[in-house]
Amino acid sequence: MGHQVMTDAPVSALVVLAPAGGVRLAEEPVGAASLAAHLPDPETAERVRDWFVARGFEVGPVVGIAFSIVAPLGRMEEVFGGWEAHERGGEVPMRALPPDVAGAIRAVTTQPPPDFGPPSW
Amino acid sequence: MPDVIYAQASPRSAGGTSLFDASAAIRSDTVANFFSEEAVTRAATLRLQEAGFRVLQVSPTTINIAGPAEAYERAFATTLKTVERDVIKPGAREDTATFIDTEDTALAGLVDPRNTPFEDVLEGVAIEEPVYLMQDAFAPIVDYWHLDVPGDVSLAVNADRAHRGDTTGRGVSVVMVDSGWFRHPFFTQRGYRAAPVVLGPAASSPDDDENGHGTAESANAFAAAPDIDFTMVKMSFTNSTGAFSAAVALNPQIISCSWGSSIQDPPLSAANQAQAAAIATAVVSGIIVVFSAGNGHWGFPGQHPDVISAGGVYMEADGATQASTYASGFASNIYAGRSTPDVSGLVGMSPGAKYIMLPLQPGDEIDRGGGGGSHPTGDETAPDDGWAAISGTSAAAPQLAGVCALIRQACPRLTPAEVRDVLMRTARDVTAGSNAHGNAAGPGYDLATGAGLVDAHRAVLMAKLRRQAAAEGGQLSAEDVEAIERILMESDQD
Repeated sequence: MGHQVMTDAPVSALVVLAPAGGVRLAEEPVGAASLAAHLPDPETAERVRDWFVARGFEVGPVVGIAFSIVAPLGRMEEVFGGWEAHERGGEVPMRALPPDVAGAIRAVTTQPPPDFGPPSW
Repeated sequence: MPDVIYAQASPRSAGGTSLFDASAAIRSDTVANFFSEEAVTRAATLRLQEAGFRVLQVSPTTINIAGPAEAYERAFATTLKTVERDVIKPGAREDTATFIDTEDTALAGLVDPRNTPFEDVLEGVAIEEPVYLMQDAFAPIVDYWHLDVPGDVSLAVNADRAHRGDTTGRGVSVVMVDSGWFRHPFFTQRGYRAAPVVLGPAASSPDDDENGHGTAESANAFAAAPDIDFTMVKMSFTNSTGAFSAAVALNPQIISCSWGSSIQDPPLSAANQAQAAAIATAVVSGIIVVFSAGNGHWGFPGQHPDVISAGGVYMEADGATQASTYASGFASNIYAGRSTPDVSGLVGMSPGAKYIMLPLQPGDEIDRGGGGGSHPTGDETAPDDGWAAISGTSAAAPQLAGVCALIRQACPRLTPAEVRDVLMRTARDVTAGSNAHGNAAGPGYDLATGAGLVDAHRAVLMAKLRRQAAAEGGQLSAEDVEAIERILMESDQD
């Protein structure tokens, strides 16, 4: 990995993990009653977390089916092969990730600001 | 060293004693002794301008000047230095601040003009010191019907009676996920307990709430439950799920969220499914999760089946209630059989719902954006006073979270679903008005206010009775529930 000049602005995204049971995420909304079917394999989840940690990401705990990653914009661009304008939310292309990592992930996504609450009160 | 340094230069006093003499007692009856001859002041002003200073103001005692450090050092043959000194910043926060000083005198910040071209016209130059805005712990007085915290909100959700029975939320941890939390005197002078702010992913500045929403709405939780152990998780607005997950990782008893997106129909995005899963994970582990239903929005996660969904009820000065025209309430198209809200807190009416006077960081986005104007479009407060009248279901959620804390204190074993059941069974029915979706309130559960306005006293009574019944023989039968409701009815007639 060559030396690159990175911008300092931290960028955050969610890594949504693929379910161990193979259920498709869009098939049913997740609630307490259906949570178990959506959960990732714990060992796989830990392996994906470690992969991001090893690349200098600040990584949050796995809660439910996802964890957070935070890194300077330059690192995001480097790892994901670009970082388009995701400030309004949306899925990030995973083509630059190694297949064994990308295969364990359902989506890497950013969130738009909430429609009500602190940004709009 | 700052680019521009401000100071008060004092022309020689007519009375012969310097303004900066340690023995100088400057009172209204002696201040004339420290006035300067007009000719002296004029000469000093001219010379200061020639030396490169900007003269900002001239008063009978001093000349207010501004200039770079080099101008001071050249004009007064001195060397300026920076010194860190202890100060108390807004929110009673002990910290240090940078002061500018010289070695000229023992008096902090005083430049001595002796042996300089200013010797005959100036007796000293006092460098300005950092000062901090002071907020008032008391709410400003405005001339329209509104609620103050904690008193009015506590009374209106019938929490005062629970508090007098020593159910105040003591020992119950409540985490709020929002824009941050500012240590306003409203909180510190009442002795409310708040842990240091926890930063969500990509959030920064833990001591500041640049928006103000989190600080303001948290006062609703303390109004309902003054003895909770409170923590704010500050979110970056582009990773609300990450911030929520940070709250789950703290393993509190209650999480309160006054925000959401407007999503009317499925499917949910991957990010929203992840948010739904994080909520379900929290509830499965026993954490009570409260979300606002929305302010005319199809609030998500407010319609998630595992959350306590907070709607809005407006209370008049005479205690009459009606559904808030500002609050959401609807049947979910995403979760079959799910209707929101479950129960309501206090929310103002459209437009703007400027109803509850709440503390926030002076000059933040809400203080500036909502300050001034005439009610109901304005809140009639100053834009930098650290107070604003707002509400929405953002206010209702922490009110319900506070009542949940009272219930948990009264009966710790209750599950999140059982706590919601207690809230709904004990709420005061609201039968007038309609909400932002046009759903009308009527007897019993409705989409306008859910089960009605939360009633802390009745909820705590039911929680205590459930604890007692469980201690005496396990689960409650239908007859037990009926008996409890009879007792509650009787308590209303006290």
